[in-house]
Amino acid sequence: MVRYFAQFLTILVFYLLGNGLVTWFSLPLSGSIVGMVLLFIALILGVCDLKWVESVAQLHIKHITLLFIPFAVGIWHFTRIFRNEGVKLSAILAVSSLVVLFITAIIAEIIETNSKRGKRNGEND
Amino acid sequence: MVTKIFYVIITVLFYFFAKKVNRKKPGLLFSPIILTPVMLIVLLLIMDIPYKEYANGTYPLNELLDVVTVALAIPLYRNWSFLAKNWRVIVCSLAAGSLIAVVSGILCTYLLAMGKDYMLSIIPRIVTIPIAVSLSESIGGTPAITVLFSMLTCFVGVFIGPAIMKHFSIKHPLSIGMMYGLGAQALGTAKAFQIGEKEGTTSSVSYILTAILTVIWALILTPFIHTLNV
Repeated sequence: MVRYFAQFLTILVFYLLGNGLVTWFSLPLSGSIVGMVLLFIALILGVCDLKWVESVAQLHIKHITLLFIPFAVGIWHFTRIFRNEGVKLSAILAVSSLVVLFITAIIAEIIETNSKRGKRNGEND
Repeated sequence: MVTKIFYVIITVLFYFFAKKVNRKKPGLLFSPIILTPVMLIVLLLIMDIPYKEYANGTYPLNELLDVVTVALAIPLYRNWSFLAKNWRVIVCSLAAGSLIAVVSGILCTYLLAMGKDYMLSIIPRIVTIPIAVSLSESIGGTPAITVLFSMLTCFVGVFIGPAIMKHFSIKHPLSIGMMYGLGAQALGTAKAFQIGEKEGTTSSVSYILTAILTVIWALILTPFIHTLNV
């Protein structure tokens, strides 16, 4: 428990640093993303040891869904506002999301298989 | 103050309850991300609590989401060599995917004659919400519509993701990660981490890269939309 708390504080420090940088230089990014980059750099440089933050990352991955629940409740609220356009909105989302997910996954699969084949034929390094 | 904590506590309790139910009844409909909000909405309706009050009360959870996003640096660090080795595939797929997302959104709103406002507001929908809001503002869209689109896109993405993987036999961790990251951002990343760490890390890198690429596509394409007569 103490370990989790200490690790969380480490993460929090990087988050606050990120936020500080964003307001300071009025960057068009969110503080959490800048904080993530900072933590990543700190890990590479060895300023921050992987052991200091590892367990909290596991916990976060396991329960991250919890943090999205208020957003999900919000959808219900927002859809009430846009009720008139509901059918059209659903149609747009269903169609374009399907296309996007499909194409992204397929392109990656094709490039991957091609490069593997290339490697086998000795065309690639 | 007490009621504010009440909303957080009730959300956490419902979440763990939903997890328990899901263990007994596996399936999409009983997954915590569906079951918990449904139970909460029912509770809010029964107790006649306005959504605003619930949103204010659960604000700490939103803050926490921002803080833990920082922790994504850890899987990123652990899988860096895997990502660096595949950077070409990642950039190409995401550039194509985000372009298609922007164009298909514009085309759909155009074909359904929903007007320029919706057309501009739908562009940032595959961008993670905090960045989507500022992009929507800067290209002349309505942030509220963009937020709705972004949230729904995440959910749609998480739902159709498994179906796409199954029907088109998408197996490579990179493809799965990018599909979730581009199609469903942070929520998709949570889902991708359930499959594996490589998938999850690719997904988290993807949703950040997607944000950058979409901003570029949006800035190229919006002047064209402004000239449209709709």
